[in-house]
Amino acid sequence: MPDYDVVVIGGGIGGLTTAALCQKAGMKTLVVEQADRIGGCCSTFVTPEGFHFDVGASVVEVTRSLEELFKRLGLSREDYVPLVPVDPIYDYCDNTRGVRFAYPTSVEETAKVIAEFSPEDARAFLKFAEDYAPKIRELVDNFFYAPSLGFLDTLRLIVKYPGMLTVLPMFVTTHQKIVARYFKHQDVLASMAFQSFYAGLPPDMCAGLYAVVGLLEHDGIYYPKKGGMITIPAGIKQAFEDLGGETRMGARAVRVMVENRRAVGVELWDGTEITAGNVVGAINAKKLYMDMIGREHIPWHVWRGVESLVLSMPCPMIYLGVDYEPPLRAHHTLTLTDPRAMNDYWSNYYLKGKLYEKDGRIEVMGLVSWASRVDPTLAPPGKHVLTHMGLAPYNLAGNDWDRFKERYIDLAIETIERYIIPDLADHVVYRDMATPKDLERMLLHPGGAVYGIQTDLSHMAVFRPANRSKCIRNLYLAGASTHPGGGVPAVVAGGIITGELVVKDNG
Amino acid sequence: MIRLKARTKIMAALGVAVGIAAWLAATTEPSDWRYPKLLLTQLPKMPFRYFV
Repeated sequence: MPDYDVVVIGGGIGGLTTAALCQKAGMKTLVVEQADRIGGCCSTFVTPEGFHFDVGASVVEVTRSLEELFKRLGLSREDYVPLVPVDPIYDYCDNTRGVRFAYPTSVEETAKVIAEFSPEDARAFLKFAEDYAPKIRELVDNFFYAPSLGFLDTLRLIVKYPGMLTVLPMFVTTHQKIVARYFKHQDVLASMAFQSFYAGLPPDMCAGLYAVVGLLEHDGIYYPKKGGMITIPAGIKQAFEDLGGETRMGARAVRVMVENRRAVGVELWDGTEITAGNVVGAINAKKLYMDMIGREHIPWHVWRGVESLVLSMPCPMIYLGVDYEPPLRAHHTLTLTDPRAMNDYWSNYYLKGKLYEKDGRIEVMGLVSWASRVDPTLAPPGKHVLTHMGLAPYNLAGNDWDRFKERYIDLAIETIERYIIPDLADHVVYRDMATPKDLERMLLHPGGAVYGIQTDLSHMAVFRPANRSKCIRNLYLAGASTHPGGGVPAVVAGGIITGELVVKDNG
Repeated sequence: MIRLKARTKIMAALGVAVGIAAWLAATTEPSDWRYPKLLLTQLPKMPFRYFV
């Protein structure tokens, strides 16, 4: 008799979602988390100075997956994860050219903002929303919650929801092609280009799907009412424990125990063996198969597939505490991201282990989040927290992240000063960063890849690691590296798929 | 439930991958070749990824 019906490796939002659904179905479930803090990338840490910083994720774009989860648990999402809307969605700022505009939640209001500098593109934006908003909703409502274990699943999905056929071209065309079809003004193109950032690919190499994902943000984006992003995994964990589930913190799993190609439990770092009827690996799929299961249990063709998976681009995080209210207008502020620069960055810098340079200066592309705008309790009185999420290579040519860390923070502050907040350096009272290597060490994400596996067509749907292992019985996967992908809504949706598979397979 | 042999599945995966490549080739402007190139380099790996 195994110790548990289900043991989940990893207390991120994907693992906790799966665990809660299994527990709800009456399966005795245990979550083992290596850290002393839940949530993985969707979490918040506190400094001795009293600043609360979100580790990685900084907003929830689509709340439908959280609503679905709590509905299936028979609980109220609002009771466990209170969220507040964030408006405007983004502020775009380039002080070097005197350009600044913010996109509100309303599509019509956004068109009015664009009309101030490009009436032609404002009309195109309304057409863009009309053409693609229904398609992207169709995708999120169906594809996100359906398993993608094989071609038959894809076929079933299309038969059940024929509207999905209209979505398929978005997977094979590029972000750049879709956006260029509608928009002409350089600043509008730039304001759209950053969505490819979430896929970790430049606009001309990123699936067209990401060009239209931004439209979902016009349905509303949300942030936890109090406590930062950790409120989301904390709420799911609370629901899981209220249903009778058990969580062990500081319990690092080092091996999935496999007998005759069947997962039978996990071994922890201290040698403790926990037996279970089912094992859910809610960690990076590549790490799960290669480090925790091993070649001896995996057929050669599957191993070859695992080896071939390309990790997503690392997103180094900078955490800044400031002693004033920063002159920002939105939760998220972006430096205008010229699509040509992003395309150039990929081939001439990122793949060569270099940081982007413009006019002979290193520039740190990224997104500034101002979480204490929504929740002032995240910083001591009179102070605020800012985080900067950037894109950078894991291996720096001729340098090492541990040595380069302080210099990178300086470069990021200089870039933010140049484009967004002119006097930032004078107000920074706390600074720290999570380099790609730190993210790898802290969160066990190989290569610091917070989005798991690269999101191009060759790593999507049936070509992404499946939610139910195809080579080890009773082994399941959750998290950013499995279907449907990375980001809070997708990871929760993936956790729902996995939870339902475990429950269904166990009668 | 339809049960297929591994070889049949590999052939089906390869067929889909080749189909996608043909679609891309037919619909892509020469100036936008980086994405198809990325996918073409991944093409031989996709049948194996199907089993992960």
